[in-house]
Amino acid sequence: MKFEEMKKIWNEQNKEHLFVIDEKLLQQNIEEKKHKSNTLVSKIEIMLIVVNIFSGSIVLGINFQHAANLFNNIMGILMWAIAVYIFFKRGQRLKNKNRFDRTMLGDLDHAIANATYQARLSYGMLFYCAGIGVLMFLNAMAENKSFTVLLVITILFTITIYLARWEHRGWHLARKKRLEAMRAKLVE
Amino acid sequence: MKDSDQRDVFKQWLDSHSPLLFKIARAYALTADDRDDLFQEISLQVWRSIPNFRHESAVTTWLYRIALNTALRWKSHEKKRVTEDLTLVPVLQAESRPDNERLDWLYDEISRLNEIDRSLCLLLLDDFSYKDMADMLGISESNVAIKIHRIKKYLIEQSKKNQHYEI
Repeated sequence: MKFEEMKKIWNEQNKEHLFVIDEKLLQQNIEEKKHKSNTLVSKIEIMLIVVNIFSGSIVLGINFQHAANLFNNIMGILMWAIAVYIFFKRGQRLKNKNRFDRTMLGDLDHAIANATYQARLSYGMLFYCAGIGVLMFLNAMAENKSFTVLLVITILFTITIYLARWEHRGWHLARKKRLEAMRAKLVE
Repeated sequence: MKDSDQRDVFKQWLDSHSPLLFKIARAYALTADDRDDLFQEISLQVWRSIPNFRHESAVTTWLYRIALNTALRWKSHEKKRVTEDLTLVPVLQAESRPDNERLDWLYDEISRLNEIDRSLCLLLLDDFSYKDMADMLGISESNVAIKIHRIKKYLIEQSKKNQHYEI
């Protein structure tokens, strides 16, 4: 069969009504989806900012009132720094939220840039978790805490890092690779 | 842009161009649930894109681009079910229509192409020029021509293997 015949087959469907749309329901679903996707990312960001500011302030506050502990100071400053970093990145994300590039290649590049940012952020969070874990461990040692406390800290942070690594590889990195493979197919 | 204006434009686009969106949803999603999900995702992106539309291109071109970009990055319902709480309410009601084996075959073959070639095939079947395709995809016209040649060759070869469908 020639390609022109395929075009004729294709055009046949233009005369048919394939589906009926429930427009009212579609509108409702759009509103719901819009709200859901916006609030989910926003909630995670706000939660991370609040938790880090709150925890960082408590750590620094306690340290200020009692004898200064280097590990606690570093931990408090690190938490504050992460909160500021996420706040800054959130601003960038909101600025680019409704960006639509003119071409599919541009749009893929934009998606890859976003995926790279998310992959880097999750990779950064891995080191952040490890850093906080090490500081807590050193702090507990400096304060002569029992072996059980040290063990609990080690187990908790090992599990957290393992899960964060799983999320980074299975989710963010996989998505980035999928988009890059698609880009390669487009320009090959 | 006011919400009411955005709603009017959306309704107008949907009334005039929904078959275009159906075609893309059908080419990229294999099951009825997936098709509905992808159609809703495309609709959401179309809705979001309205304030950015500057009349520099035809509405059809704009919608095709939004829909194809969304379809490329969309993941199937089954994959999503693993990680997200899905409460999908279907919005599409299939109309009863006579079986069209030849069209079903064509969609089947299109769905076997990779995501990028699928986009090009849809654009080709809907009579977009090589220049339009190159502009939409962001690649050169010669690159488009090579890919189109490959797609046509593949479809013609497949049609020869499926003579029993009167294809």
